[in-house]
Amino acid sequence: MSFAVISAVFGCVVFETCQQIAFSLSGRLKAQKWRWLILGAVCYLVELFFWFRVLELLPLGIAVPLISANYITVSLASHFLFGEHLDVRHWGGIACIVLGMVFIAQQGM
Amino acid sequence: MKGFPFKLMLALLLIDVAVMVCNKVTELNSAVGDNFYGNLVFQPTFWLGLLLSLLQLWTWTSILARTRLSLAYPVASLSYPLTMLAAQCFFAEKLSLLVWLGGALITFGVAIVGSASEEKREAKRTVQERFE
Repeated sequence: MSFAVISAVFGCVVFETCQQIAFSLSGRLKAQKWRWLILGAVCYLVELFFWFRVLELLPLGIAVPLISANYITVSLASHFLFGEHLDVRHWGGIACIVLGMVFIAQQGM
Repeated sequence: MKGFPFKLMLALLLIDVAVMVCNKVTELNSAVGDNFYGNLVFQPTFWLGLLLSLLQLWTWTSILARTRLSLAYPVASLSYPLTMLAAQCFFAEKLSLLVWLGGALITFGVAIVGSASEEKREAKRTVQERFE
């Protein structure tokens, strides 16, 4: 996997995670909901920038499953930021996604 | 709790795939010339993709209003293999068996992670106390 591909996928995943956190906060907090909503929307636009770069570098059938990495980062963010408990089932799901990504990264390049 | 919203779910899966196909078409048409990002915003499919994303959001919230997250998520995760199938059909991409196996694992993993997060809604109040 080239550095360009990894950095583009990384950018997508980081901004998708930020977007989810921002939208989550806008739903959870009572004050300044709009601020978080706008921040989330900005993150979405930045993510689009990286997403089209990913599509430029990878076939669609490879790019789409790779971006599911954000389920891992959002889970971890909700655990460490919001103190949500991740049970065994959740960790099992994360392990499946990681393994699937390894498979795709091996063959997809 | 009403019955499972099959029609909305089917609509969501179709929209999911349509958004990805729109994005890929936008990318392919923008790759000509040297101004990739400048070309993007002039593609009708770019705006169609954005519009469909809004529709996607509306469909998803409508589904969640009608059924449980733990039921909706496993079905919604089918958008991964469906998009891979669309990539093979519309863009003649060659996806190996290993990629399909990886896609199946990811679909399964996303279904589990999504349905497991249902109980986390309970944690909402703790967060409010922490941030306010």
